[in-house]
Amino acid sequence: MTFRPSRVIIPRSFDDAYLHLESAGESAAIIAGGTMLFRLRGTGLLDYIDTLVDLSGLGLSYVKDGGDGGLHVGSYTLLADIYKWLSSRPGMARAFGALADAVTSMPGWQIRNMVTIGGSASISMPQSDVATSLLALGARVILSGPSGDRSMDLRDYMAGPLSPARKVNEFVRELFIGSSEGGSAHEKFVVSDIDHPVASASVTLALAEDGAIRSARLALGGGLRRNVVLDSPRELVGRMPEPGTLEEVYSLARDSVDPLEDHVATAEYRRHLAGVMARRSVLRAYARAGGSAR
Amino acid sequence: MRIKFELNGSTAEVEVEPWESLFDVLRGKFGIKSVKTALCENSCSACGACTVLMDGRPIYSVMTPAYRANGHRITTLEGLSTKGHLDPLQEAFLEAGAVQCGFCTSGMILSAKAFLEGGGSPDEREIKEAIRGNLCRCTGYVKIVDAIRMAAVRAGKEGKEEVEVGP
Repeated sequence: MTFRPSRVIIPRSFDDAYLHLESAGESAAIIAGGTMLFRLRGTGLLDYIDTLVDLSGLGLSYVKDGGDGGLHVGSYTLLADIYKWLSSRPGMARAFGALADAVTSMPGWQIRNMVTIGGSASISMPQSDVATSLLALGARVILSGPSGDRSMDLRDYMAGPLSPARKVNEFVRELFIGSSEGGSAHEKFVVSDIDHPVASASVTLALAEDGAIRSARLALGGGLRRNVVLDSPRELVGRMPEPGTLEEVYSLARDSVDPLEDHVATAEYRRHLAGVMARRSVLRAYARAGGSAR
Repeated sequence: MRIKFELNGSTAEVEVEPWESLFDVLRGKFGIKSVKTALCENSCSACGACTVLMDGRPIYSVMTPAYRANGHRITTLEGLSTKGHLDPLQEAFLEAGAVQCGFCTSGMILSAKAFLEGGGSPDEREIKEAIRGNLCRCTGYVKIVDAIRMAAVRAGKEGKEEVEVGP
């Protein structure tokens, strides 16, 4: 084990944080919940880190209803707290059900009491259920830096494993999830609770008055090289979740992913499961949106 | 860096390194033997044997930076009994026969403690969800769930009858 950062800095102001991030440069890592850092500390991947910057003193733990149906979530908010907030608001829980599903799919309250939403986004990996659900929900990342805030689509922020698209002196202040008048859901397949998902899918749906799907966003994750996000796929929009529609959704998901192949699952099996999870998430989100499947 | 926290009701102060986990410090510097690692080399999150309570919430100590304990209340199994009396959950585990090899027991009891203190009921599904982050390789969980339900009923949580414990 050679993960040996020499110091931890806990800034008390945003300006203080920018200065420390700037001065430590590439040898600094922002520590959120810390679970990924401590999980990887024996792998050699983190040996370059000399400074841990801990932003937990900046008041970044909150969930706020934006008033327009959207959610503002501080980047250091624990997943357990997000789940509790959502589950006490049934309307929100339907619209943001994918996020609640993703949290409860994580094995145990210990993890939910440690992992933050900002950390889940910043590891930038398709294996994260929370990140996949946020992609389906169209989340945006609010980055704070010395020149002010900027907003970025989460899919652009998640540039590659452990390599989010932030400047060295920036940090994620908040995630913003826009209003959702419909329903959303997250589904995943795991070999066991302690493994990453073999495949996962999240979807957000809004319905027209006749029950047809008016808008949709499908995100695929799990054992993939990268997340896939499909906006308004023609396989869903204007359709009812009938068997033919679901078969097309299955094919769409199966053909869209670039899966890993390892001892857990073949690439072909992951493709198949991407389709199955997509189909299941559509059915669940449709019901949450108030639809009645035929 | 030097941290100060409450450990099982007493003030604790210790020097920690940035890379040390709470597990490293509790076991290595305070001799707390109830926290354990099992499936992990360093920091796996799988089994729950390293569970402790931070301000009443269960966390995996092996994945928690030690410095994060600063200013917080840490409870391990050693902190549950008072004046020589076991916690009602510990009593229930004994009575229900919920312990076989004992490796998972401390983590199980701490997760159950957080569950009951948080208003958990004797509902079997809720109990199973509460201990989902703790693996047991001996008991099949049946008697563990029995024990937690028994403690919940005795604590006056919602539940109508005394739990019958199987043979």
